Amino acid sequence: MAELDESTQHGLRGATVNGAAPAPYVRLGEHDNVVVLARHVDAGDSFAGLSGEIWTMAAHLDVGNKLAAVPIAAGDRVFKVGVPIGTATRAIEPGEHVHSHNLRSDHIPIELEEETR
Amino acid sequence: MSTPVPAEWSGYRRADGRKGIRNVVAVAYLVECAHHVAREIAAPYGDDGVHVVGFPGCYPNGYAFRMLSRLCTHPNVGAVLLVSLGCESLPRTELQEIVADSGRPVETLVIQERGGTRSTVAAGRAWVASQIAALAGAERVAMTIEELTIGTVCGGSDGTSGLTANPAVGRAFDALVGAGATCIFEETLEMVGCEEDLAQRAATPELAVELRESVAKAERYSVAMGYPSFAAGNATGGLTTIEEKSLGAYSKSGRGQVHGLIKPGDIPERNGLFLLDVVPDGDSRWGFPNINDSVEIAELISCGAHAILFTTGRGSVVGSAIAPVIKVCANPETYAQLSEDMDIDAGRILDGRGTLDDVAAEIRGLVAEVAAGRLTVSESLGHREFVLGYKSFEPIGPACHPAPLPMAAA
Repeated sequence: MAELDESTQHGLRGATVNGAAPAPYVRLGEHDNVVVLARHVDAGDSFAGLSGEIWTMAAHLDVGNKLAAVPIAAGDRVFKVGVPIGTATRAIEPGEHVHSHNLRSDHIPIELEEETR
Repeated sequence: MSTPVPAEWSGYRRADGRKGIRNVVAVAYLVECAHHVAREIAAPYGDDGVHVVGFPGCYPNGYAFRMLSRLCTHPNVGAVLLVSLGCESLPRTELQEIVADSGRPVETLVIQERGGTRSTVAAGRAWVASQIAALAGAERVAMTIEELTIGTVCGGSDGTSGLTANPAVGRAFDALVGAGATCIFEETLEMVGCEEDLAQRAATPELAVELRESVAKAERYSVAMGYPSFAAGNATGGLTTIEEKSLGAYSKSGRGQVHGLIKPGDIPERNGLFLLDVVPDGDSRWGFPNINDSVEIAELISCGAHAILFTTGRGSVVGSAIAPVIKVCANPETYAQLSEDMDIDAGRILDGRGTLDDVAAEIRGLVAEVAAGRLTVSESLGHREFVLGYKSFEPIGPACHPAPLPMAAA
């Protein structure tokens, strides 16, 4: 089982690409196809993606949410901290939110009620 | 670990040889019909270490009886008052005998034989007041880390839990077990996808089979219930699948060897790291295995945990009866909102104000301070949640028992 090591922790401070503002995400495993938000983002926020392209956020996302790090095809396994966490149900663009609308469990499907507000 | 941790503090010695870090009077209601009377008896003594536990069910349940037996003879408990309505099926005389045999003062009040609510409350308060006075003079004895048992649970997990608080608790567990403590982790419902790694950590091949099967049982139970251990708040917090949540939850157990598998009410036979299996055996007939975090906390305490490390991302505020709860907050934004309910800010790992090792050292240091008497935040706020429901278990098999210690126990 992969675990956060010291190098990953440095990554948690936010990667800087070409002198732009520190990106709000971290890639936890070297070969992960998702990154994890280390702070919340708002709709319209833009920052550099992993390959230097600009990612623009479509909606507010809380810390802990995932973005695609690279193009993910429907049927691809999704890896976080080097471990598979499910399978993509459709194609996902780099920088796009990865969640229940495009990722499903390989173990137990989940049907969630809306959280009480 | 660079932070010096006290190796010894004063605890309370019990007649069975175990030692406690608190000296609580437990007031136990034996059916929901006696709950109000128990609560009224305890109400004036909120600051004097009087805690209410109990079982709401009227019909017999061996698991609930064993849980109450263990909780009433927990090393943190100094005296026990049983409050019975009178016609419930929980065997109060047998429970009183178990507590008396443990060397603790115990009294049973039967509401139907005492003239009712007012008379029972008056009699109960008089007994509790006399016990508080007696416990105030209790002898303190030296207690060491080898005599300490710590449990861990997570609640309100989000995408930060597996990045900060859970792996930090895992490293604290590695350090505590290394120093000779007993540590208990659980949540097999949140180990789906982690079972092979868990099995590889088993002390014996036979135990590996049992560990794998306990996770498979949890997955079967989840499917039968129609839900895995996954709440709406988990998804809002960025977790998508049960295996993703598992990945984070499992890291609380650290990386050390697993010495045995226990079930609620089993007290580990040696020091080391233990998996507590809280999923009922047999058909899935008891509903959700854990309707909330407090059920799991009570089960960890029934196995002898003196204190609980509770990691939270979304921000739980609970504590517990009987044993202090240390809340480790995974999410820096939650900490900013709820700092008055948190003991440790593990989310600082995310904004570069500390490393996993820094937070693990802080956790381990706080465990020692709490063992020595420092109140946790939830204790100081008066949180004493307690929930106990119906379950059933088969006794653990021979493969679950730990291998003996390589050297004689201290």
